[in-house]
Amino acid sequence: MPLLNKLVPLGIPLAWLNLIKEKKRFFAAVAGIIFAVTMMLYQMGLKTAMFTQVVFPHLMLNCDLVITSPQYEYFGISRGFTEKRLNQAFALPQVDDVAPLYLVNLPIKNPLTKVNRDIFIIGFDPADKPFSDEAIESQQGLLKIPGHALFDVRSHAKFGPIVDLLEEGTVTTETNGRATEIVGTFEMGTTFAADGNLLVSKQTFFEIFPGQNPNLPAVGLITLEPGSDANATADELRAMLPQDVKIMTRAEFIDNEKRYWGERTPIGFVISASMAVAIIVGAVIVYQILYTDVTDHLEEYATLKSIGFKDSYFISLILQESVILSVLGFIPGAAFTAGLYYVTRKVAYMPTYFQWDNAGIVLGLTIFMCILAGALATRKLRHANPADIF
Amino acid sequence: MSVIQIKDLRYSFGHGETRQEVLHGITADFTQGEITIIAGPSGSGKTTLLKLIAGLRTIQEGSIVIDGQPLESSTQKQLVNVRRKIGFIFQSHHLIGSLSVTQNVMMPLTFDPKMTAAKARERALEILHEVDLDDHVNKKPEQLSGGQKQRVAIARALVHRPTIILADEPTASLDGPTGREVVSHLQRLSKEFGNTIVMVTHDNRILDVADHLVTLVDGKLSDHEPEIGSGF
Ligand SMILES: Nc1ncnc2c1ncn2[C@@H]1O[C@H](COP(=O)(O)OP(=O)(O)OP(=O)(O)O)[C@@H](O)[C@H]1O
Ligand SMILES: [Mg+2]
Repeated sequence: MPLLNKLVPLGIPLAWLNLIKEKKRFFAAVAGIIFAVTMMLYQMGLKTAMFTQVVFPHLMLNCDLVITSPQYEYFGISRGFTEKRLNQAFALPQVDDVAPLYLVNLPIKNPLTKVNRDIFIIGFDPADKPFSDEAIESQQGLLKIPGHALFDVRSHAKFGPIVDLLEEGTVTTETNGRATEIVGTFEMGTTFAADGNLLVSKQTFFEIFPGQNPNLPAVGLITLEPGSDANATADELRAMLPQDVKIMTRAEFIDNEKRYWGERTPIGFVISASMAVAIIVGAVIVYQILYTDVTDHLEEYATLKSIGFKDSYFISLILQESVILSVLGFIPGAAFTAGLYYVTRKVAYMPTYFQWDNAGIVLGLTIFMCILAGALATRKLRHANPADIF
Repeated sequence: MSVIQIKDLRYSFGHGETRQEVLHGITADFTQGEITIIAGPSGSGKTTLLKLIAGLRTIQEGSIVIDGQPLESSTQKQLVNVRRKIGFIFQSHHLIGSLSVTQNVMMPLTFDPKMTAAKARERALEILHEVDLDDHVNKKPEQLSGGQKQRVAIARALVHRPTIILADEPTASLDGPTGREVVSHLQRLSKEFGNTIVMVTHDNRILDVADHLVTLVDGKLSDHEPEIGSGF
């Protein structure tokens, strides 16, 4: 209570009353902060979503460990590793199953426009169970027929209205010049490396892409018996297998992908830069508003100063106004961003979700921005000599 | 007992070529409980003198002692404490626009650390009653007439029972009868509370409330020449 009495002496909320005195100015300030909050929070959400999205394929994979070549960088085209190593893993009793994946980006023809666009193709043996996804599991038997493919409904629209066309039966098109029949769909999502995804059998994969060596899969999936220690098994495999492969646990595999894209793309920088712009724009707006407020009330503040109010009272007033503005701007800004996230999920299939840690950072930045603006605005006040004002 | 002692006070504005001395050595004592009116032509330095007494301008030469505290050797903190012993009534009311009449009057009470909101409100309402503003306590200043605003300003200047009231042409923005009424409120309450009042005015109609009348001419104070006043 003593603190409250210091901030709002005798329950007279002068900061609040001064703020709302000029309704238009007050709403302009709040609108400016809503804008800044929305920009910051939405950008952070996009960034989180992009880095979540890059591992969507990984999250669907049915594996405890993966084997790749030592040069493996990201889930995409890769030099591949000797498939034999995957079978050698069976030497460990806790290894339950293995499955090789073949990856490539090749053009697929839009069935309507006939334009060829690169799609990410994942080849696997339909006898294996490399995906823990009901839609894929229930349809992967269809891929046994050469030329059959499953299409990711979250693929970019440039590949054509495959989903609509499928309602009238299978869709026939061409992948890398080979006849391809799309017989079903699944949901995976786009990544930096893939604008769309196509699942095919290993056999179809090599028909489409005859240049690839079938003995060099890009990624090998290993599942362990329930209760096995993945880290310990990874160490055992590293000791057992030659140096021509890299062993990662599922978690390391996912981290590797996020780290790769974090370093490889300017997204981190771009997002930070646009957040900085949002902060500056917000700070300038708040500064303008608070400065005008100080100017308008300078005579009143000088009056209070001359009857014995200390400078600290006025600084507290302006800082209170700053904090009130930040909180009042933050709440609708955060709500508005949650709406944008929803639209983004529905329209762009990006996993944009409201996250409390991001919101906390943005609230902190907003308060910082407003206090900075407020502190600048009080400079005029401190230099004001009441004797010069009356 | 003298509450304000001024000795050899000189004050000038500007530097070098443009330097202009406004007060040329003023010596005066203001006694507890008395009303002193300072008259004098425009530009003679009356406002400057009041601001010096209030600790709002830095003393250049000479000395002012307020209630035992010499201003010329005071720290910022001591100056703030001096200001809290002074009630200031300005030519224009200078009320806080976004506060109600009652809240305006409560403001000086925030200096008392033991004051509660309820007690402060009660004190404010009491003194507003004294200046006949019972019907206006919840209004905003902009809803009041000039005379009413100036009465609120008087209530605000007196509510924390300051030792000294400084008033700079408190009736200048009011018509004759209203000014008269405002000043009689001030006179009655200060007699009741025992305040020392120093009031600057051009207004001949209110000179009669003074216990002392002095004039400031050419930067010097002198006892008043009776022909200007009416009640002397
Ligand atoms: N801030 C200032 N800077 C420079 N000169 C000033 C300043 N304030 C006042 N003066 C000058 O000092 C002199 C005295 O001014 P002051 O305001 O004290 O007079 P006053 O007696 O109150 O006049 P009035 O009756 O018109 O209010 C004037 O000549 C004025 O021009
Ligand atoms: Mg004056």
